[in-house]
Amino acid sequence: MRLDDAAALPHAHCTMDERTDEDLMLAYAKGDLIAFEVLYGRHRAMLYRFLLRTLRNRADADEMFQETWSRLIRARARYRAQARFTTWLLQIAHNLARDRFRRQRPHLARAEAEAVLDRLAAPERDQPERVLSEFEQRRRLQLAMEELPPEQRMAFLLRVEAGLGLEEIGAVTGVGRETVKSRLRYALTRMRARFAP
Amino acid sequence: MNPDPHEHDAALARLLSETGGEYAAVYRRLARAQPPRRLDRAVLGEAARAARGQEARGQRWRTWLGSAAGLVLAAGIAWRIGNEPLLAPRPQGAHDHAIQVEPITAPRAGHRQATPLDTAPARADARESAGHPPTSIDVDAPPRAATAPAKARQAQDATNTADPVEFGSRIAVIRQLLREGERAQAVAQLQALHAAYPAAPLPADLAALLDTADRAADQR
Repeated sequence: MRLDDAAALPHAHCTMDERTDEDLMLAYAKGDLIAFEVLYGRHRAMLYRFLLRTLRNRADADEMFQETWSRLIRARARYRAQARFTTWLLQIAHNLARDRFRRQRPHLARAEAEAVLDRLAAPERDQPERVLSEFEQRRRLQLAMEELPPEQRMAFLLRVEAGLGLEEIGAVTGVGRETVKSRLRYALTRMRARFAP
Repeated sequence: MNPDPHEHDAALARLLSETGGEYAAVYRRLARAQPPRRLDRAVLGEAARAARGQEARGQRWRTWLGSAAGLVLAAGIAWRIGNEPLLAPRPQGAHDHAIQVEPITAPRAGHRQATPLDTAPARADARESAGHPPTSIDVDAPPRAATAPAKARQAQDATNTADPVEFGSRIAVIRQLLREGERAQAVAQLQALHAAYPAAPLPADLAALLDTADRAADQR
């Protein structure tokens, strides 16, 4: 049996897809599980890539990913719509990653980082003459990100992965706008150095 | 490194522009890693447990409130009954209220008169004296039998909401696959979902997608 009448659905997915993140989070705080599932579907990949590229270790990223959502679930009753949902989610993730960096050794061993780069390599379906330059560009970017101190790397990732602006990056990382600009400038300088011929 | 401040500002402006500049373009060409399915299951499971726990707490609160309200009501009635003779002495031979509203049989000779708080045992006694053995049904009123349409609706609801966590999370994954352009994978997931829950209604757009895929398969 299939129904074409969206109003007869057990869960109104069509309207859920049009609701804002903030509305969905408030609905979940009141017990609407489907609202959470839509919200999770929207942000799972972005959050995972942010953590994977910040932490540079898949096991750590997996653990932090689950812990981020777990904390969000536990704190659902405290969520207020004044805060943008993405900012709140990334704040939790950023704080967890920062704490992890404080506890761990400052940098992963080179071999381990290289292994991460290998695992992240894009599928080789490009034209052969483009593969080398494409691969080289991606590799240089990965290496440049790898060399960045964690706070600069996170600022860069919050911009390119999550699409946040200066104020939002500042809200997530708990620093002012000028500090964010300074971190991004530092990251770009490192990129330019890596991409220089 | 060239510390040219103009170039720094220009690069930063490009990074903060809508397209994100040259480095964001390279970043977008990196592999689009996804969380593994086991993490999806773990997170969605925890969210479901939390939502269910919230519901259970709400139900416990309602049960407590109902019990408290019942106690207050019972105390009020008891107080009123206790005071009634003082306020208005009953004429001799008059029956108690509980007997008046229980017209099945008269109470046995010598049997104590029931108070309103004893209504259920009194009803059991009354049935016993009328030749019916006392049963638990006499004491605890049975729920009213569901009507045929209600039964059909209950069966329908049970089928449609079978494992809503699994159903909802799979719908979310299918939509995510469609957003990411993985149509073939989304259709495969959709067919598997429909096979698992054939009676559950799909969202209109996904039902249409399934129909299209089924027709294409039939033509092959």
